[in-house]
Parts: sequence; structure tokens; C-alpha cells
Amino acid sequence: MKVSYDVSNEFFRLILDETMTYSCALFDHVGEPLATAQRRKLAWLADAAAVERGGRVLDIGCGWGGVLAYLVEERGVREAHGITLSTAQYEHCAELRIPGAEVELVSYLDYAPEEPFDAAISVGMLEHVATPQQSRSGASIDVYRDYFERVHRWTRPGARFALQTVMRERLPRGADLVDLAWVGREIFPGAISPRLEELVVAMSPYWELVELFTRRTHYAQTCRAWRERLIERESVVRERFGGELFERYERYLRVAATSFDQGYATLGQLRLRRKDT
Amino acid sequence: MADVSDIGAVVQVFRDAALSVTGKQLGELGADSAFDALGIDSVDTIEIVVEMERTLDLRFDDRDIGSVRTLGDVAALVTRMRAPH
Repeated sequence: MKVSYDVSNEFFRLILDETMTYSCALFDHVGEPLATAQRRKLAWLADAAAVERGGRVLDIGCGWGGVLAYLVEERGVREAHGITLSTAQYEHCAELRIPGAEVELVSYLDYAPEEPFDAAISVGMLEHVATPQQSRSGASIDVYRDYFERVHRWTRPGARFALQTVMRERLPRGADLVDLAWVGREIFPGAISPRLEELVVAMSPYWELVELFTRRTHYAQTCRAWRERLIERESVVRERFGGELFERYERYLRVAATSFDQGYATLGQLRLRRKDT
Repeated sequence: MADVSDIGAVVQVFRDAALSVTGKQLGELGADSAFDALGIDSVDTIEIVVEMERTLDLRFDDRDIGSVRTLGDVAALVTRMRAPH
């Protein structure tokens, strides 16, 4: 986690848009400004979670607080609660002092809210729940099931859950495999994206899959937008953070865009309804 | 259970692929050799098995590649792919 997100808030400010959203945007057309597409994604998440004015919403893996700020400022949420494992992201959120938003530095495994939420949102967090070893042994299904059970426990009957995650599709061969293996080792060590079939099996006791969108072309476009911004700011990045960081992120974002273009991975947006008994 | 009738040949192909991918010369290997115990992580494993595909001129199922944990599992994959369909 530290390797991928604790590089520096300042570094991510240079490559992300003003919403500080480090996840797939929803583009209306090629060439649309990244911030516009990110706001469309935020709106999709709030709609999918059926967020209501005056409600209480949980954001699991809240990043730099982009979702939290949107929920309270644009959707009138009374209490937007975020949890994160990243110290840098936590500190950034604390500095923002968003009225109505609260952030805790805590693992989802240790999280125990005092009262259930009306809705839940999670973006780009599920990729960090299971380890590659658990995936290899088949134990990842139980890890994902435990995750969905927890979110079920943290929400009230009738709640909706908007989930956005990268999903593994097919394995590359040749040079693309070498590149993707490098990303796995260097950028996201210890993390692995789920496969859709794992999620469907794991969620089924707790959540009804109402709607699923796969948005790999949107994520390819998002990665290209971040890479363009990185390259535009190359001299600043090299000066402040060193050439190695520039080269690592330039390669990572290029490989990620290729991965989505080629269908090695896709981006899933899942609209879930709590199963109540 | 893995079909290890051809395990000797599979071991050699695996050994060569592992050397090519990781630069490691592996010691004694058998059907029960677990990749974790050999210091071969899941990313290495995928690269090694894909290298074996190239050598053997086979194409394994992606999900099978992601779930092999021992040399016996790889041997079983090879046996299955070579079996008449």
C-alpha cells in the first residue's frame, strides 16, 4: 500500500485532476477534460449507491477524499465517513476539513462503525483485499466473501453499495507479460485484482448484483490522461522527486493503458443491493 | 492429483524456464515441490509457466496458470493439454 499511494501527495497533485481522484473516470467522448469525466464518475457512484440528502454514507478506501467532498458538497450528505490505510491520504483528508466528512486511518478488518450506514461506496480498494498467494490457492473467494459480509454488517437494511474495481481478464504473453509482471512487482506488490466470477460467488449471500458495467476503454483513457499530465510536468517531477520516479510512473501508466486496451484487465462498476432476510 | 508419469521431462523444462525468468538455478525438484518453498512468487510462476508454453508449444488456460502451486500441478497441466481431446 505504501509503495503505490504514499509516494507523495504533492506528486499525485501534479498528475491527477483537481478532484484528486486516482481511479477510472467516465468519459463522454475522447478528449473530454479529465476533471469533467471524474465528476461524471462521482455522480455515477452516488446514484448507484442511491445516496440521499441528509444520509450517512461510508467510503471504503477513501483515497484523497474526492468522493467524500462530492457527497457532502454536491449531494447534501449529512455524514460522509471514509476509511483508509494510507497515512499520506489520511493526512491529506484531515487537512481538507470537509464539513460533514470524517476520515479514519484504519484497516477494513478492524473497522467497526457505531451505527449502520445508509449506503456504501468503494473505489479501487478491492484490489488490495486478497494477496496473490490467496488467489493462487483459491482462498481469495473466502477473503472476498468476508469483505462483502462486513459491508453488509456495516449497512442498514435496504442499503445500496456502489463498487468500482479493476478485474482480471486474460493473461498477456510476450513483452506485455513482462511489463505487467513489472507493474505487479514494483507498483502494486502484494495486491491482485479479482476476477468477476470470484466476486459473483463471494457477494451472493449478502448482495444482489443489480447492474454491472465494464469500462476498460474509460480506464485506458484515464491512464493516458494521467500519463500526458506526467509528461507535461516531466522537468518538475524529475527535479522534485527524481528521474527514477518519473520513469517508473511513465512506464506504469503506459503499461496500464495497454492492459485495458488489450483486455488483460477491465474496470468493473457494480451496483449492488443489500440482501435482507 | 497430478499425473507425474512425465515428471522428469516437465522438471527439466521447468528448470530451464525458471532459470530464464528468475536467473535462479533450482536444486532438487519433484512433483511435490511447492513454488512458495522454492522462493518463486506468483508473478514468477506465471512468467515461468508461460515460458514453458513457448518451449512446449502449448497454450494453457489462463485460470489454470493462475492456480498452479506445485511442480506436480504444472505436470498435470501439461499431461492434460497433451491428452487426445
